[in-house]
Amino acid sequence: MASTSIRNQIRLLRFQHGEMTQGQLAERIGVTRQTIAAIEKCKYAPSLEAAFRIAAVFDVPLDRVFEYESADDRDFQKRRQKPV
Amino acid sequence: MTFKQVSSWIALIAMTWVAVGYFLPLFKARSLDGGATAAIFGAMIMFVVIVVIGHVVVAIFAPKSADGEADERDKRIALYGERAGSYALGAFVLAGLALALIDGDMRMANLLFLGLVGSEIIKNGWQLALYRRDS
Repeated sequence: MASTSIRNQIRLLRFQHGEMTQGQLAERIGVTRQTIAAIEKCKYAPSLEAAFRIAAVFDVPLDRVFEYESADDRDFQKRRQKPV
Repeated sequence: MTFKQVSSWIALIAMTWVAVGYFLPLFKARSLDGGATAAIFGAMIMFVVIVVIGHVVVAIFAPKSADGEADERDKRIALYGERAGSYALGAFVLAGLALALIDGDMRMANLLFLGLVGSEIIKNGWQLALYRRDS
């Protein structure tokens, strides 16, 4: 899938939580290891539910895990600059 | 690779093999009038057999992945794939309908038209039901 505008700190958080593996995180979230890898590489934007689950595993607020780069979202930028 | 991804590979290889086996003689003869009922049934059975054997082999060598359910990404990818496949199916049904009308085969034309209309009714009805449920 194409890259998303959602950046994340999952890799860093995994490292800070006892070098948790992608497989361990995936098991706790209820997705496959490949999905965690895709999220980390910003190739897949998880559902809101999965995003909250990831934050809950690391026991941090959602915005510590994910951030939205609006500048990378070309479609959104186009709509935003449209005259009302 | 997830089990769903492996499953897609198995289905793709099986279908390609079966399709080449069935359509190559027709392609060489440059005609769509050839073939036989038994050959079509044979191709369908062969596809099912290859897919089942493929999945059994994967389950034996990677039992952990075979147990896993499709996650949200698998489901989203499957939907994109289904959509692409439905375009091809729709195009061939339309081609079949056109051919049936040209040949004057109204039974086949009616059946294909019913398929087109029926699938649209199901699609839109299902979408409306989901919109209603979520509102």
